[in-house]
Amino acid sequence: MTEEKAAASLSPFEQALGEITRLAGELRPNIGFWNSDWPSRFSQIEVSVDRFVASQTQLDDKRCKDLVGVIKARREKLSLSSGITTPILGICQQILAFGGAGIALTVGFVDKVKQFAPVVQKVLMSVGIFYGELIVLSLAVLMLYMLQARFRYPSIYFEKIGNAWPFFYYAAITPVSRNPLQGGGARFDASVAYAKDYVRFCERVLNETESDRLRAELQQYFLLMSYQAYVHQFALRLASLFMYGFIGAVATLIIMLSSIAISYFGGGIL
Amino acid sequence: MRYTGLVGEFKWWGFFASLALCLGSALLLFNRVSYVKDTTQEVAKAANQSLELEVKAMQATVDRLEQRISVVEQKVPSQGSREGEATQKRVPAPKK
Repeated sequence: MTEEKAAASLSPFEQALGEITRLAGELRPNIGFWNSDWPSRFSQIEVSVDRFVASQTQLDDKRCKDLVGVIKARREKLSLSSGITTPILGICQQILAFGGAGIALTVGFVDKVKQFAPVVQKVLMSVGIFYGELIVLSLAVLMLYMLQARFRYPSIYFEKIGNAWPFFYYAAITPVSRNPLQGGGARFDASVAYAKDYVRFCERVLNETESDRLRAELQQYFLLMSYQAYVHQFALRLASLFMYGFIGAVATLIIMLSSIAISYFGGGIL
Repeated sequence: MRYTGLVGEFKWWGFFASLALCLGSALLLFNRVSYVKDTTQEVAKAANQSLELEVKAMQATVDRLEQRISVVEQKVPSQGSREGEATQKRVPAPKK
């Protein structure tokens, strides 16, 4: 009885949050790294969130319209791109391009390097190692970027609280074959799916209430904010990896050249 | 919990890890792959000494050969001289 009273005294927001926390605590320990069926386990939490949002967006039409206006204005101002990723990728591509040319030239002239004085050979070797490290760094940055680009955001697995149906095809278009070479049967099936999706879409748009619009706007607004977090954090990590690697390579080059200089003018390591 | 500036700040361990990786691989490559040979002073000195000994031995051989040549030249007469031939005949055989 006491528990029921305590639960009833909580606001719908607190109840929903408590429900999510409870379900997460029950479900999480059973989900390992290789569990690919986690979306199906998450569906219980999704139902809880959907119930809360649906109950909270049942407002009068005027209130719904005002809120939709506010949300639209805020959503349009969200910055969804990063300014640092493109320059870093450009630098890495240049390093790889020049590195490939450098390797080809080195293979052709490596025997002539032996004619230089030992200290000159050491300097050339140090510079070669420095550029080799930059090449490895560029490959690592590009690999990280490709993994980030192919990252499957959790929200695309949601059925009720992910991308809102007016703004993304996941909730409106039936999956059909995307094979570039299709026969008559596949094309016919895709056309039937197109017709059904079109009928459903028309029904939803024409019978949409202000509450439905508010729900969709709110859902997409929050999803874009979540997406912005991924984009920004991915860009930060890409920049950090590049900075760490670049400074490490430059510092290594300075240390090696200094050691060569010290050994040339006196005793040294190299 | 919310994001703060600490999330995006550079971490010192990142730089140290990168420097350790770069320097370690550079030293490994430099010592294993480099064909640069720069002899130390001691090794050069030892090489010089062995070469000097070889030169001395060769010089001694050259001196010995020159001495033998001069001896042979004294024994061999000049061309067309009978006295040279007679002298050659009168030279006693060496005692065993």
